[in-house]
Amino acid sequence: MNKSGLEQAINRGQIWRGRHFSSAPIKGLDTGFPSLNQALADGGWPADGVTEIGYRSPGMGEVSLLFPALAPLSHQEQWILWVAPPYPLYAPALINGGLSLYNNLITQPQSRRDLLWSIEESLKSSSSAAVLAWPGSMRPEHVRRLQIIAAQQQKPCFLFQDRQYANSPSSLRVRLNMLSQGVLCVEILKQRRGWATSKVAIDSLHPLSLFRRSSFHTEAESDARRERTR
Amino acid sequence: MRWLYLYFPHLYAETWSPDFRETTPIALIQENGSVIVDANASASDSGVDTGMLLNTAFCLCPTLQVLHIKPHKQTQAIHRAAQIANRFSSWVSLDEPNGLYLEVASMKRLYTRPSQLRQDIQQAFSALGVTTLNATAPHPKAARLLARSNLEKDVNAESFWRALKLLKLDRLKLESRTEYKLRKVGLKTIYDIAKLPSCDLAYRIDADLALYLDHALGRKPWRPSPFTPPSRFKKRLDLEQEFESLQPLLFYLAKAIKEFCLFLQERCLISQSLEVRLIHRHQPPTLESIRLAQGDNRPDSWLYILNKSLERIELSAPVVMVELFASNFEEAPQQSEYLFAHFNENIAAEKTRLLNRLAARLGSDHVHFLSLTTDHRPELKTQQTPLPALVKHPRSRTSPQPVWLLPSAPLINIESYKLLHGPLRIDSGWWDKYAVKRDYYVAVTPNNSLHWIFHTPEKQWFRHGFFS
Repeated sequence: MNKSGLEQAINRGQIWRGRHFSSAPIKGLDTGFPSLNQALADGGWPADGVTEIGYRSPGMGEVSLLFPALAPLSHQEQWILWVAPPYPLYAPALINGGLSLYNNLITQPQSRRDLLWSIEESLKSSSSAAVLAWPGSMRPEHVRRLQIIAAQQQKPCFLFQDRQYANSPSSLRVRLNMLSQGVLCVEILKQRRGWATSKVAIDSLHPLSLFRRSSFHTEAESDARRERTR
Repeated sequence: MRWLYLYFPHLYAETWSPDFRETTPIALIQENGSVIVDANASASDSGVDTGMLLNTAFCLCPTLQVLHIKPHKQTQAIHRAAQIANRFSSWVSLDEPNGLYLEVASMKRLYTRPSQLRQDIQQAFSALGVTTLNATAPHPKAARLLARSNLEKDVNAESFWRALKLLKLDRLKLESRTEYKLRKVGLKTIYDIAKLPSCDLAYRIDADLALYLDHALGRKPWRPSPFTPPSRFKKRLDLEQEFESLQPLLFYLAKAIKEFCLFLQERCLISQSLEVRLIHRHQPPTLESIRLAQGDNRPDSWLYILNKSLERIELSAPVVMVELFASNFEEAPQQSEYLFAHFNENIAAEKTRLLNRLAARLGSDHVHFLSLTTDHRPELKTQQTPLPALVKHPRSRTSPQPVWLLPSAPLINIESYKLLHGPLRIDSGWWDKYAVKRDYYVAVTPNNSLHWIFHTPEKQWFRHGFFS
């Protein structure tokens, strides 16, 4: 019996070994765009934190960018909360994007305080799957509060902003730019668990056929073109 | 069992018209009828009688006042009478529009003499100015027949037969054909037909009449269904001091709300609305109606909504008294009895909670869901609904659709746009006031935003949406 004390303890299973320490890989929300998934640290939109999306003017595809990620969520039991969208939502676009109309709850808070309260309340409730909000811009301390709640509730929260603070504590901060020919450039400004230098160009957001045609063609012309390509 | 029947010959008029007993002649007609149904003593004195045409009545008595009977008021009147009668028996049944059945055998212990009970009932109604006629009998329909025939009696099985001898056939209010048939064979009183075997009567004369007599004589059982008075909640809080702000008042209200929830829980009910009346000393009271998105009977959800609703009130004067009132209740939904909490139900309860909270703070018109209509006009295609519409829409990839639709389309300068896709012609609504004739295009702006624009036949261009 010359086994060391350590060996005995190992044999009795009394030692906890650190090899299981690395936590399970964090899985992001699939964005639906392979190139974007690759650039993001979680392999998708942060599923348990705040994503700040900066955009200059409406019409860049900033909302449709999220549709592939929101579509599977919307077919679940819970609601998708739209807090203070700048204009009325057009239902056919949601259906085209693959979302279920049934699970969208839209709120229009009338004041700034109500807006923050609504986002927080929506995040806290277990009846919501994701929260999308249009606060204009949001101070870092407010973002921190939402970030903590989103992490606790393990829920994605998307904030659409026209002006972004450089030091906000969100999981991911991106800025959208529209290049010509319908190519959307997603510039990753900051992300947790990853480098923030990459720019990703997404060209499949708007049907490319919109941009390929420079002018209008008659049926005969487009038939001829099809022939040629064949 | 023993039944007392209460007959109110002038129930409607005596409930709704205070001067029916005065000297002004008053007559009642059905809402869209022309035959007089009821008339007061002073009208009868001038010759106006029930069953008379209204025109004839006006000729006899030009000063006649006419009341139209409204069905809902008629129901209210009989319900009010039933609530008063509830004091005298645990089983009160309605015989609309102007009669009540009361089960009285169970009251024998409390009223040793049956005449005492009848007297008390009479007094209770005459104090309210309502005339009553009553009769007691072993079977409900027997009592009804006697009371309506103006024979106020307390009969048992044998004496009922004797009473029937006094009742002529017309008391049964039969169809004239049936009555003619009976007269033809020489039957004059109800006693005469009651003696006959009921199967013969049903076969030769009238099945309904035979059944009615069977019920009245107890040969076949029949019991009226009991009336349950509508429940309502009313709570008045006398405050010891005047309150100038609502925050300290919440303490008192919280107690009252707990009582309200207890009231609901005891009856397995839920409620969606509660009226709060803040009574001031000199000014008319402030009314606040609290509505939940979905009915509830838990104090914490009511208190939260109350808190938020009261925050919005601005008091014009100090509050001296508070009243809570609720009268619309629903049955509480059945809870399933899973041993372990069911996931889906938790979500449903949580959804209700979130919706209630959002609606309470933001106002229910600022919280909505979406649904799709079949209209082709873009501005009418999306509908805002207070509750989710349970329709599944098939996914269709037709043409690109904008995410935002502007509530009103502003005029644009087309020169700064480049058209990409179109036209999509929408020509609809010519059948109503809001006709639409537009050609839609997807266009790109100089800073590469995608807009949904259209032009009208007058070649004016408008922006209608963003491809966000």
